[in-house]
Amino acid sequence: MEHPDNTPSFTSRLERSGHWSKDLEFLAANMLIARLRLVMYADQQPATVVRCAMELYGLYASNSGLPSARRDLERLGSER
Amino acid sequence: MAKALFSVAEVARLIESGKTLALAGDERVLRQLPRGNWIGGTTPYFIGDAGGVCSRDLIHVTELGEDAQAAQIARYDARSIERVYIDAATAAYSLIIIPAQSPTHLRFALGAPSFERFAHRPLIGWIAGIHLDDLGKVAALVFDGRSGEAIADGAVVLHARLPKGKVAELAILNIFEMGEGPDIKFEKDGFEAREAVVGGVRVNWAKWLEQKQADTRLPLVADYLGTRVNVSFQNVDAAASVVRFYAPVFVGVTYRHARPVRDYAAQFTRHVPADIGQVTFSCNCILNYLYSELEGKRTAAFTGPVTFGEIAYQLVNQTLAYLLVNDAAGT
Repeated sequence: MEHPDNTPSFTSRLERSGHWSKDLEFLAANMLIARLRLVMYADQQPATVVRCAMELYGLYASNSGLPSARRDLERLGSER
Repeated sequence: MAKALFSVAEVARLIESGKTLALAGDERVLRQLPRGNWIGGTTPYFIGDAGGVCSRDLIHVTELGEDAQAAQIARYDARSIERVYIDAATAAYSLIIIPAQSPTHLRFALGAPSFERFAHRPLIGWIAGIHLDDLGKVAALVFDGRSGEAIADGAVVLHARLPKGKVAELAILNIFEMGEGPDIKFEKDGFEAREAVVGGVRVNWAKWLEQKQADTRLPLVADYLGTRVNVSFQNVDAAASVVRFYAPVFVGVTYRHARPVRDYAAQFTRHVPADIGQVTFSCNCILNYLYSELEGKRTAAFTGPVTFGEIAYQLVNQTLAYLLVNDAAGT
């Protein structure tokens, strides 16, 4: 799995998190993003977005063997 | 469908044969079990092989023996529970039980999504409860089968491994949808709220619900990017101006009152995905059991404890949580 620096999808999606399309299948990612949106709303520094993107990346990296996570990663990869 | 509900004697034999088990039953029957590789939690309500049932004599058994290898039992308290996802990171999945209304329950409910390594592996489980006739008289308990100890505040967890080539995935089945009413927001995280911002206007929420004659059997529903997450009403005390919930509401999350559901069991069956695979564990909510009158009714192929809260990575309400174990290849 690529590092998020090379996978702008995570950061760009989080940056426009108010406009997330509802196409992620991985349940845990949806739950985590719901919290990360609040973190980024409270602190809108670019470093916070990167930290949140890293957290989301870590979640997908740990779960890349799950079918739903894998389908999300394929979709995110195709957006680059 | 495999047998799900067993007598004390049958469960004792399974334990003595060395099986790794996650059990649900009334306190009295769980206290009779021998020591062994099991965890348990109290509830007399189940979805059994023949449908919903209330029994103080039967025990629901989830046997991890066929799929899970070298499952490890761990215990947590209200402080150490924040380590649960870290410890789970080396497991294929973890099954957790926490007693209702305990400090550990409250800590997990409010903090889980912020705990380190949140959801890095599937964490599924339930909040132990009691017979509704016993409300206010006895406490929900969890059991550590290694010692047979009953625990009123803490969590018991089975961290399970799987053979190579197997993968566990957690899912929820929530048939409630956001209704057409106003958006509802809260200004504090918590299990209770005095005020809410309803359609952009701050209101005394208990009084507002009373005036609107809102049906509080229906949960609040939040939309987490397409995943609907429920928070159930515990009670509305208009005199004290407080509304209490079975799971916390969170600041910054937009909720709506759910649209009414006619014939839960039929709707539920319609929502079950086709070719679902092997369901290793599932649990459903006591409020679905009560409000949808599930006694004697089956909910597709799912059996399991009927609970005071469901854990699907984090605490959810009025939802079926389930764990699938399938072959990694071909999924």
